[in-house]
Amino acid sequence: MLSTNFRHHSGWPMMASKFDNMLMYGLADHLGAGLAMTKAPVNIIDQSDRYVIELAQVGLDKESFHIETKERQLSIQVTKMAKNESVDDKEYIIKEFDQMSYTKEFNLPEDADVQNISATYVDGVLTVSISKLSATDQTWSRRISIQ
Amino acid sequence: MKTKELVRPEGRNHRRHSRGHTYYQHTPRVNVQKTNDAYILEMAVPGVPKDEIQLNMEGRTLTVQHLVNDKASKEYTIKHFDLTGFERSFVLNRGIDTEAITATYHHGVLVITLPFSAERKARTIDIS
Repeated sequence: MLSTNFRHHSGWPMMASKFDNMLMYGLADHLGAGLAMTKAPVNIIDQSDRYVIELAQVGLDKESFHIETKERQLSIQVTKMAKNESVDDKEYIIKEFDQMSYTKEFNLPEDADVQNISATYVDGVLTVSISKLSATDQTWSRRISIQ
Repeated sequence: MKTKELVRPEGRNHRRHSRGHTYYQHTPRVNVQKTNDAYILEMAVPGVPKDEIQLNMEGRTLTVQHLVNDKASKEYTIKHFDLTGFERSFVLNRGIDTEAITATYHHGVLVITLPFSAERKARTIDIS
């Protein structure tokens, strides 16, 4: 299974386990409007031939994303573009989402093919598709014959 | 001025859905900014294409909804968002010119401009 790490660029480390997310989303429900959500939600879909990561990050361009793998770790770096509009003449009445720069990390499972990863950015969702190695490609699944 | 007098979201903002221990975001989040001549409503609709979004004005209620024909089910290992079939409404105050509302879409952000009506806009009055 894919697991995720999340850290703000401010340097404060945050481990995002499923349980943490449950707490956070539960809290967001109770607080309702006015709570700016800075953490982009993620879906992970385990298909027969690939893992698919969907990162909800609206309003950016594809140049805002930097994706790389290091050994078995996939990191997605999101850089917020600087807005050139003046802030002075705008006042927020409701603010439920915000954009910020951050890095999200995923620990890839053994059967993920790190050489075969593709990504698209459509309608505010970054979709990263990681192919799975077939059983014969994996060294650990070699059949051992009995002599 | 209080928020509820201006652009008031109706109903619950975020539906809580329980499937095991997973809660996912079902309703889009909004930012509303006030400028000199309009409210700018930004709605984050990740994964929802422009041509599947419908805006309706009924009375003073603006409703944004996702028109969906069939709900494809995916096998999620982790599910934090799914805006399929969302609907969110806003009660607009009388200071907004509902005839002049415009909307644009850019990378999952729907931007709705709600201009102030002529009476609401600041104007100078000549002294006779």
